[in-house]
Amino acid sequence: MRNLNVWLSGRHIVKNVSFEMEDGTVFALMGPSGSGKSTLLRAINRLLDIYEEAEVRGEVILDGVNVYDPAVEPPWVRRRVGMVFQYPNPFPHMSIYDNVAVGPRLNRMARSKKELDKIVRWALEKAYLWDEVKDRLHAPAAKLSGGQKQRLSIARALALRPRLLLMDEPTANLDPVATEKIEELIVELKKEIPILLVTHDPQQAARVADYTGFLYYGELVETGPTAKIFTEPENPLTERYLLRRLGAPR
Amino acid sequence: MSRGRIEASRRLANYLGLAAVAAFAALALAPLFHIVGVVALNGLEAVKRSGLSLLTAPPNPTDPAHPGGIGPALAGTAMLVAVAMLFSVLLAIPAGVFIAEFRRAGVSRLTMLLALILVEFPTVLVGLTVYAVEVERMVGRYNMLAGSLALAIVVLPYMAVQVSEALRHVPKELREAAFSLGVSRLTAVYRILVGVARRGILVGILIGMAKAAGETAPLLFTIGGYFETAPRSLLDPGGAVSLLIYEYAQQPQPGYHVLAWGAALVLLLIVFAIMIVARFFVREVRL
Repeated sequence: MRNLNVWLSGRHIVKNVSFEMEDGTVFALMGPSGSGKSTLLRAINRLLDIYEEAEVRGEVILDGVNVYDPAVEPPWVRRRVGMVFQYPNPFPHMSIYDNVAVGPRLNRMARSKKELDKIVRWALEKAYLWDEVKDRLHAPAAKLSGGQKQRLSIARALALRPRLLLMDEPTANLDPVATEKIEELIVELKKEIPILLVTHDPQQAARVADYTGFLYYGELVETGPTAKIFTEPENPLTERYLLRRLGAPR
Repeated sequence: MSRGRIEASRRLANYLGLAAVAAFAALALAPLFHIVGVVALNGLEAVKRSGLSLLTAPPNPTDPAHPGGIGPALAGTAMLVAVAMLFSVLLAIPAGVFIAEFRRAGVSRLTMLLALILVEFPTVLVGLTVYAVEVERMVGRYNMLAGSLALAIVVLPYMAVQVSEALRHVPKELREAAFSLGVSRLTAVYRILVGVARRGILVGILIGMAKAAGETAPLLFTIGGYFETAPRSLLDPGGAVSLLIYEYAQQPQPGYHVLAWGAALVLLLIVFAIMIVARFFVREVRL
């Protein structure tokens, strides 16, 4: 993205943010609460468009196309940029199968039931959920545990074969075991789909991300390879944040 | 004051407070229980005399010992409610979606305002208007279609508001998830969000049905009030349970009164049954 600015109800939330991401990597965005991390994420897949109080200026370029070009329609962007949210949110009135299938089905991506079955299976396998649910695909999604629901939400996003996956604090509401599973998933998945991960936990960034950025109240204060950010941060704000969150530097 | 005294006075205050709340609650519910009790007691008389044929037989008010039943009127109510719901559900769902999803557009706000006003609109005026337009000008005699239209107009604004409220209560996360799948707004709303909100919508429909079954004023000048035979088509005049109560209660002979009470009990049971089913679907029922 280049010079991205977002205002919500007049307040300047995202201030002139620019950075780049590459294929095959995980980019983690960390920062204190209220820094605009979630807003930034929603600006990428044009989800902010559904909120009338949001105003966006700047460019977000996906494979050479500016997502905010007037010729581009939001659904086009959202089919190529998947999103996973902080609270596991599968559609409660649908089965596990239907939750994963709904994206491809409504976008007419499968030409037959067999193709759809294949897509669903692929997505669930990538989300490390297939083995646990393969015998009850038509059970209601509401009956899964929190960690399973979140993996189902990931599968739902993956089913559209997105070009980029956005994850907004995906493990914030999960127990450590479920968190670990998803972090494993992320490290494996990045080989196929680049992932932009917003996290409340710098240690998570240290564990899974190749590159990290520090967003401080709307400004992207520092970015760089994760190892460098954690051991030799250039900006005193970054250093202070890490010190406070991690204790003494390792 | 000693510790024990403070405790004691607090306990007393608590007890008195609870007693007062219980007393007022009982006072508020008393009229409901009174109505239900009176209707049940008097209606049971009709049930005693006719048994189950109260629901199927035609009325025979000249013989109070064998008063017959309200069969044709019940059939009339069924026809009216079915047709009225067909019209109003088909219109209420798009209207409710429009109000909920396009909140800021001027037309949408106007629609919401109109719906809220129409909910409390005098129903007798609705009946009169349908009389002037449909009965007099279009058909030429009392007919069931007129009654259905009047009921639909009465029930429609309420259901539109209910649909829009059900959609409004879909949590932000689910809404965002639906949109993030890259479908058009219309698809996201109709294929996903309406599904998420379907319980609330269903309850709205059920309560609309209960209202339609119980309304009397819209039927006064539209269906004619013939309780002896069931209407054979929508363009025939006919009767309804609510209208029967109104008409028969005003007759001097006791045979009519027995049937009116019986009809009242039947109507009460219909409404209760619908409400219980609705309560089964959703924890909070908004009227």
